[in-house]
Amino acid sequence: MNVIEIVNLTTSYGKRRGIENVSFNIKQGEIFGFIGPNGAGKSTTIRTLLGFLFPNNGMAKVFGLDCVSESKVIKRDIGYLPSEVNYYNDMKVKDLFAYSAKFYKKDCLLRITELCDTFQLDVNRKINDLSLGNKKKTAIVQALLHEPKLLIFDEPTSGLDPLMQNILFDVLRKENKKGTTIFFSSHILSEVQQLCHRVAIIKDGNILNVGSIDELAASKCVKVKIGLKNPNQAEKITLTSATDYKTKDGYFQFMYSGNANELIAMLSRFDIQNLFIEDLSLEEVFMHYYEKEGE
Amino acid sequence: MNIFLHELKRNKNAFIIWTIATILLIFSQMAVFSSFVKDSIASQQALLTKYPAALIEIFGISKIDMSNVLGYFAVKIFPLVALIGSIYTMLLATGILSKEHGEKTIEFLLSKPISRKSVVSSKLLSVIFYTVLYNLMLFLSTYGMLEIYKNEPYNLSVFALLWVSLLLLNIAFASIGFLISVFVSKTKTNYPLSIGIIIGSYVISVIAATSQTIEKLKYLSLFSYFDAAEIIVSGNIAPIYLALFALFIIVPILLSYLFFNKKRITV
Repeated sequence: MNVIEIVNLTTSYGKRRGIENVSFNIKQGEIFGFIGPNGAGKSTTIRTLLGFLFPNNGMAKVFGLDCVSESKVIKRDIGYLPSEVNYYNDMKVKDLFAYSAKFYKKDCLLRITELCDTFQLDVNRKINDLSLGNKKKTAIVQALLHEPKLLIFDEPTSGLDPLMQNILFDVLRKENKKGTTIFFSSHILSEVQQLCHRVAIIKDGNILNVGSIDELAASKCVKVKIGLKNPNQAEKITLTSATDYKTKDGYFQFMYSGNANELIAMLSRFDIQNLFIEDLSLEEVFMHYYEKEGE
Repeated sequence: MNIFLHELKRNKNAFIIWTIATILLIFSQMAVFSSFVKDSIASQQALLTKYPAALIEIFGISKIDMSNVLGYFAVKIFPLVALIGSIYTMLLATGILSKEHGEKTIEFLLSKPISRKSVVSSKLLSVIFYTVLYNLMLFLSTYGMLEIYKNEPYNLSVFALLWVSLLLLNIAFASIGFLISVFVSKTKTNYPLSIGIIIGSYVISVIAATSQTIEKLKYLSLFSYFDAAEIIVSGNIAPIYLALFALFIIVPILLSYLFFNKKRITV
């Protein structure tokens, strides 16, 4: 079952670009990464899902319900962490949690206590007195306190120290094991690779690719690194399915997405000292997509 | 209900300060009533010479017996209370939604399982609650003062009617302020805008009262619908003014619902 279903979604607002024809699904129980640089359209997609923005075209559904007409119902089971945390500065943390919990008509006190212990959060402090990291922790607890079925986290680790990032990832994995679906938007590839099952790459408001982390890392492309006895021969290596030729650290290297026999036939003509054929890291896949689309 | 209670808490201090300040202002003016009455006729005549003709016309000073405590209150104090009350209620209403935009808490609010319509209703209800409570507190305090300072009987039902018209005036300004709060998110902009509207409206009512040729201008000003002298003389609020009050209350509220429902939330 798809928890999130987005089909040809286009949202634009003002002078900002927004998103164009975005399509992807997130299955129940998945941790889905959404990666792209700042301004790529990640927050616009999320804001459309939450009903802050209205789509110009296409369709977005959460729990099978339309994001515009059924927004109120959908939000009962969503925990949202915005990229930029803004709360009522004159409120104490505990008052914010109490205010937030009342919207769900649930007794969340025990859950709040547990989460505050986990994230080492002092609930008696005023929001205005909190550091950026503590504000982020407040926002995380606020998003989790009603035990939602879907978590939408937009750049959740910004402002958190590495120790707290690990605690957050542990909490998210625990929630995921209980069946919670997680939509994890970030521009930090390593954390997406560490946590997510599948990932969508977005650039300039368009989805470039959607796939599992392993698929994407292994997809279509491998990185070929060759240590040639005579480095001057490098320019003679030309393959139709190779891109990004360069020499780095004494190795001639390129991305290859073609037939293995063709690669072996070409390389056999040269005197090779070392040969490495590697799967791409997610970061390299990401950069590969970006460079390819940018051309 | 959650948002309503939250707004009551958030706006409690401002309510207390505005209420106490207005009551003190009324008291400071009522306290001199006795000495004013001692030399009633001379005072009234002196007052008439001091007041511009337009103001005499606006407040119907010539029509009212100011040696009566209610007449004195209606002419000397009530217009000022109307102005202050309108500023308070309009600032309250203008800030109620725009603060959520300005402080960027609107995302928090709209990520909750609540419709936009409910957000508007709850916030509007809190504005109306404080507007009614503010007027009620003022009404009761002033009633107490009239009872203390009265030198002869006065018409209590007319006094109550004055407050009804003031309440309508305050709610109408609150309603306009609420509509502004849907569009203008910067408090640096909307507070001067609100005060500008009130002062502008007041000035229009003054100008419209100066000449019969521009009398129709009065329909542009809410203050013109609020004629304390006329209420005291006739004992009722003119139906046309009631209708106009209703228009200025209902239309901005309906537009607020309509526009906030369609508003794109960008933080």
